[in-house]
Amino acid sequence: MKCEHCGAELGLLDQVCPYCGSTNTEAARHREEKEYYEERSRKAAGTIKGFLAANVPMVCSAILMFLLVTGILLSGYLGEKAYELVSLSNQKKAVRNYEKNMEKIRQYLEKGDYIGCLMFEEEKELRFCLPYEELCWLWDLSDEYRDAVNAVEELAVRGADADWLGAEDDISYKKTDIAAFYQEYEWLRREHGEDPYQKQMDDMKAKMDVILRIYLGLDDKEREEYLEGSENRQGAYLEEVLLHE
Amino acid sequence: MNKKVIFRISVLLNGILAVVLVISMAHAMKEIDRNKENHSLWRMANILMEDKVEEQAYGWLGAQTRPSRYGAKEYPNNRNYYRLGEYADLLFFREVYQAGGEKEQAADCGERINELKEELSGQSAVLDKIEQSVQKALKEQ
Repeated sequence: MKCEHCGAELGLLDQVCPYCGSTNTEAARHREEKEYYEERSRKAAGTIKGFLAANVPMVCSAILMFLLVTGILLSGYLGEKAYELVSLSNQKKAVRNYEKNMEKIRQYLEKGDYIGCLMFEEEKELRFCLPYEELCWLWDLSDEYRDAVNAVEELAVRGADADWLGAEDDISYKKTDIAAFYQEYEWLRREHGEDPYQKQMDDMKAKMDVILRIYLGLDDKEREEYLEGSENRQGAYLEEVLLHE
Repeated sequence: MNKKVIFRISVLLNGILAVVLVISMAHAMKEIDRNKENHSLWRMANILMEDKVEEQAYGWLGAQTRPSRYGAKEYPNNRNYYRLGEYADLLFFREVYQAGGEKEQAADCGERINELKEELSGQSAVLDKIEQSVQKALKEQ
């Protein structure tokens, strides 16, 4: 604010102008207002302190209630998300143990044990971890390979006196697993021919070809015809081979 | 309602909430432990395998018990069936390796087959049936 007499700059609470010495009448009003609001502030703080002092147990109880409710909601959330939390923890472990896991995977692949490699991946939950990305197509094909191998083993290896109830249903259900492996292999070869694990995928296919040859009597030419046939024809062939000997 | 009554009600509520919190935390910890154990479905199903042996579904036994060979948690009462399944699976794969020219893998299978024969010597009748079923399954010798 400015001095009424000399126009010099004054502070809001300056009683006297430091330049001309005249009394600053505006300052009195500002000073009164300042004292009034300071007094109100002191009274409010006093009221709150008085309330808290008189109600300490209630206030503590309210804070405790808030904490308990928060704790219940948090533990409920943890219980609901347990699967995701464990998944996340497993994935972090998988990244930490990358070298060790890759060494184990290499051992499985060197032995041509693709089902073993797949089971190792399933146990450690590696498929969706970034460092193992390049193996994902191999594992996808291994999944189909396992289903196809299991299908042939379950259908073909039965006792001579086996009472095979629901044989046609079993065959109908499992024949798709055999075809699915070859479809997946062909698709991967077409779409991802440059896959770093193409050699292992080719080996998987070669093993499957051997399985079909020795357990279903399909040589290379017959296998191609079998796979090109309709599902009904495939089912009919399997029933002929497995049931009518 | 005076302050004392309100305070007592709040204490009672806090007591109930504390019990609920303990139960909720215990449930959360149990869920996390359960998921850690079962997370990757890495557990053999507790299926009645005796029926499958009676049905002579040895191929099924071989295929479905395979996770136990790779570290899956086994049910103790099914242990014998896991071994029978392993025997069937090894016989199945030995034929595949021999036909595919993979002599080393075939030899490894042969070794384990002999070990199992000794281990399961009391069930030679079942082992013979399993061998016969694999031989019967072969369409190419």
